Amino acid sequence: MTIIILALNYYFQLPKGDYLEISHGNEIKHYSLFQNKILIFDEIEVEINMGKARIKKSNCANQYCIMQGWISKINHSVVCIPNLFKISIKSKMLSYDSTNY
Amino acid sequence: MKSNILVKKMLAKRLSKLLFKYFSIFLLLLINSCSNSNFYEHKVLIYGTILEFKFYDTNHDQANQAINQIVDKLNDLNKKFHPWEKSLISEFNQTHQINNCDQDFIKIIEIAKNYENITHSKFNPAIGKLIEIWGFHEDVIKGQVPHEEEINTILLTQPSLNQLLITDHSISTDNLSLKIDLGGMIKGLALDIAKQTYQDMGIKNVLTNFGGNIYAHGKPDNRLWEVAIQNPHNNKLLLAKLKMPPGSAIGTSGDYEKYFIHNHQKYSHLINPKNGQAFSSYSSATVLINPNENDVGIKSDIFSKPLYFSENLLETSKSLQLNHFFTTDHKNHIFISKSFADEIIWLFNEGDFIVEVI
Repeated sequence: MTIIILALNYYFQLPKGDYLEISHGNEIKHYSLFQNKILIFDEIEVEINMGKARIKKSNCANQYCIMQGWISKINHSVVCIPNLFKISIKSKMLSYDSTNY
Repeated sequence: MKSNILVKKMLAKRLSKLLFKYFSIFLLLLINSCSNSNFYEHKVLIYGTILEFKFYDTNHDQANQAINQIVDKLNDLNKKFHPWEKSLISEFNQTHQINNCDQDFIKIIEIAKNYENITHSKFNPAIGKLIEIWGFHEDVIKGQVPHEEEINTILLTQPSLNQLLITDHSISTDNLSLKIDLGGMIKGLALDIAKQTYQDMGIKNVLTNFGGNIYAHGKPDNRLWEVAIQNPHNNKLLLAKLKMPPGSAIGTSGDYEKYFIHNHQKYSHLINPKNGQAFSSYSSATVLINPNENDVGIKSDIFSKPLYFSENLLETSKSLQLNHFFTTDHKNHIFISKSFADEIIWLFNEGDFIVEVI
């Protein structure tokens, strides 16, 4: 129980992202998360809704990517393996390896 | 009976979907933790400066071996080049003659001399005495402003490493105002030592940060190493972010790390070799050195200094063959080269800075 509470606490403390990274085949594209938008990539439809995103439609057989639902926290991803498609929540501020000063 | 079977089937289907959902979340977490374990980070404090490593996909024993080798070499550098504590250089700075230099020592002096000439003495490792009279050759900065006369007496002798008589084992000079301080290139030299160590050991991917100067060796996974650049006017904020090509190095010189304030004027440890003053119209200068150049680390450290004191950024950058650079001034302007502007992502709040592409 304690572990579950700690895990939930950790999850809710995770910062939210500010842009969506979409990796489609060899291409990587970035979109602001702070908009309401439907993006269409061949057979896949991605929905962005003010800070969160999900794969809304896909032509894949099992629809597992759609079952993942909405994501909004930094570094959380949804993958559609048959389509080699991935959406990830990113932050301009927080994703870097080191600081130059 | 039939409807009962249907309900059971539906329930089973729902349950399996639910189980799959949690199983896939578990799998994702597992993948995440695995990818995290591909990184191995380590920090070492070496002569008051943080040396930070971030290895990707490297055997931990091999990484530790590399770290130990690098730290040993840097400790050796410290013993030779510390400008005021007991070292070969501090001995030279007292006596102006030392006879027990080894080959590596002479080689580093020659490198420093070469870069003094390349930068037309805008990086000048022979002005240790100027740095000393400004009070930056002490562990605790007192905040003393030297008399103009004192500065001018030193400037009149035009201290330069070209005034050294260098043999295989000794260096000496007739200029008693010449004191050597390699502080402007030692962090960069450390990065080049790290680079050589990784190459010798066959280590492919590691990011090395020595006191803010960064060398990107290889890249992690299917992305590039990404670094943030600190806001020179507020160390709690970030100014920008950029992706570092494998083999590149980045360095910043600024007035915000080591300085004192006297009569509302900020004096930094960076001394202008041309006029002996401890301030500039810029608050910082950042350079990114491309991978295919030699001495990437040294250049990332040295080349930010002529830009920091530059009176004409385009001219200075051209003479150093620099394509990726920017400076910030005290009025919140950023002057950035075209090639760098295309690659950098600004992180400051709207209105905090005005960016001018030059």
